[in-house]
Amino acid sequence: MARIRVQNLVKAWGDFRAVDDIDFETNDGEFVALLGPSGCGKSTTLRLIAGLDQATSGQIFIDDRDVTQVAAAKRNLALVFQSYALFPHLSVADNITFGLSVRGVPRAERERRLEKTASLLGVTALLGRKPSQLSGGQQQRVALGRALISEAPVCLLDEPLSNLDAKLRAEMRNEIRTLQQRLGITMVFVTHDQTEAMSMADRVILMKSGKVEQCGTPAELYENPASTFVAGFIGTPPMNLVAAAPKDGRLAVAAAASSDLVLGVRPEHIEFAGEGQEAVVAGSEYFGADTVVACRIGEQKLMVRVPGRPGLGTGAQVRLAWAPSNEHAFDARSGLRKSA
Amino acid sequence: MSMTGHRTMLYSALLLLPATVLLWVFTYQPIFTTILNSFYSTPRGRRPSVFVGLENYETMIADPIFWKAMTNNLIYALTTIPFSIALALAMALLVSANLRGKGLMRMAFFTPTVLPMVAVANIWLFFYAPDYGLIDKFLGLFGMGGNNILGSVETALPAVIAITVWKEAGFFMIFYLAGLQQISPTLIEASRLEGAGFWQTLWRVQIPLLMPTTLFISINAVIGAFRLVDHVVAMTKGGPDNATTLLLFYIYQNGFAFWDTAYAAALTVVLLAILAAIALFQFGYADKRVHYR
Ligand SMILES: Nc1ncnc2c1ncn2[C@@H]1O[C@H](COP(=O)(O)OP(=O)(O)O)[C@@H](O)[C@H]1O
Ligand SMILES: [Mg+2]
Repeated sequence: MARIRVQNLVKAWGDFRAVDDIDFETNDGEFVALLGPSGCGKSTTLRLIAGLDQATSGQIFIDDRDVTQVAAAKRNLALVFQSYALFPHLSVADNITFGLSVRGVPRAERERRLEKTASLLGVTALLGRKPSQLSGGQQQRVALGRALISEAPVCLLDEPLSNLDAKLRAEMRNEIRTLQQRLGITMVFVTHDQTEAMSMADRVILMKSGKVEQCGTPAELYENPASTFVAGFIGTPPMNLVAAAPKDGRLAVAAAASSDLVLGVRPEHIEFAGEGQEAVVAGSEYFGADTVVACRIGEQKLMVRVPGRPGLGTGAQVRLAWAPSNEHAFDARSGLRKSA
Repeated sequence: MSMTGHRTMLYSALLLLPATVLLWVFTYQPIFTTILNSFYSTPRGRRPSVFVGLENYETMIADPIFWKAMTNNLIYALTTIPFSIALALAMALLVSANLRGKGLMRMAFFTPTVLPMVAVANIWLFFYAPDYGLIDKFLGLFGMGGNNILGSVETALPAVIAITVWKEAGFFMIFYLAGLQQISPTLIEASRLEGAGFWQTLWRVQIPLLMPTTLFISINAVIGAFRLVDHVVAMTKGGPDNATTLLLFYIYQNGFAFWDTAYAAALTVVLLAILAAIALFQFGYADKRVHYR
């Protein structure tokens, strides 16, 4: 349906570059997550794509049409704002059909599409209400309805779930993903929550300080993090990153905390074994299905995730082992991955 | 009741006393006296005032100048209010937009408001003056000079109306500016993104969300239309041929030029009734209809 391509995109306020020369491309009907810590330029990127802000330089294409200078309304895309931006003086029905009515879509057509969209989102019973009479989750659905009724091939969402409680968030995650697949639209979804990005997206664009740090499928980001930043951002708990020294063709955790080599290994890939590096248990956190055990090797700390309850007290002596394929090497100075 | 209860009551009463006294002496007592006086005749020379019932009101109904003043006031209100509100909104939108020199514009629009009405009247007297006045000179360029704008029955009231709009709009603009700042910019962005242009956004989003402000302003404008007469006193004295006589000016004339205090009291009661009706409308009806939350 629609592809978005962003080329050398820059947005600067004075000397500060909120978006600093980024490039990426999405495929038709793809669900793309723009992930990154707060303030890294996700919203700004989304606003540039939507046309709410003007790019300082660079280009934005939607289906090979250069829309960099095109007004927001003419880009044929929909946007769900983080704050929902529902019109407080209009009923739910009028909020959803606002765009259609502005664009002069005939009444009968409007009604038909409203009915379809409302039942798709389960807000049919709320159509007569004002936004102030809705719960957060309901407002979210209405905002989604206003975006989807336009039947635009591209839908942009700015942290749409951040104002919802944990249970509702998990529900909506599923629902948005299902809707996107059913409608076959291209979605760009901004979030600072890596679980959200990993569980929903076909592709994740991880940003840091206005730059794209890595762009790939969730599995690629998980299995082949391009830098220590990516490694430390993805996963709960994230990858262990410790100073390392080469040993017998592999990497070993160095006792001292400084080295020009960084070893990355995920907590879930470490196991307590008969053979391996000696460590001391420093504490543990029990989550039911698994336990995260904090271990110490010299001055360095590693998290180990093991199923069930290992029953290791603080101070217990253990040996840590992991498969060579789960070992990641990074350059300490640049933070970049060292190709094997 | 306990001792502390009595004491609290006493303190509250004492604290309320100054405000109550002031309110009574300067607001309620004059209102009651005025209403009372309107049923008595005006004392003249050695004749004291006597109770005359509704005679003053009967005189009023038969008084063509009273009706002229009411009509003038109605025309005055129905023109100054919408024009000054529309102008205020336009100016507020202009200076709230991201334009160069908006600070200067803001000040320029607000200046008429801080000028005293009598000073404003003097400035406009010069604009309106026949032959050497700015407007007549300008019209003279096209061979249409020789107008006495304030001296002709047809143009005097519109001229007074124009001054009021010019002066009031800047004041109302401040409220609209505050109101516009209350509207979240994302709502405007959402509206634009959904395809609404400037006018559609104005009509469908901004104006409805500004309704509480508009109501507040229009109440002020209506009240202003009945109590602003400084410019009439300074410029036309109600003339020519009562063309610019407004209700309050007529009261002033009767009370302090003709010294018919009883008739002035009756006219005042009518004015008070009009203002009270407006206030009731605001608090009872309109207030409930324009707030969304
Ligand atoms: N209008 C603006 N003027 C100046 N700086 C801005 C503006 N909008 C955003 N920024 C800055 O740009 C950076 C990126 O912001 P944003 O894209 O909102 O981050 P996030 O990734 O949290 O959505 C932030 O440091 C923010 O302070
Ligand atoms: Mg943001």
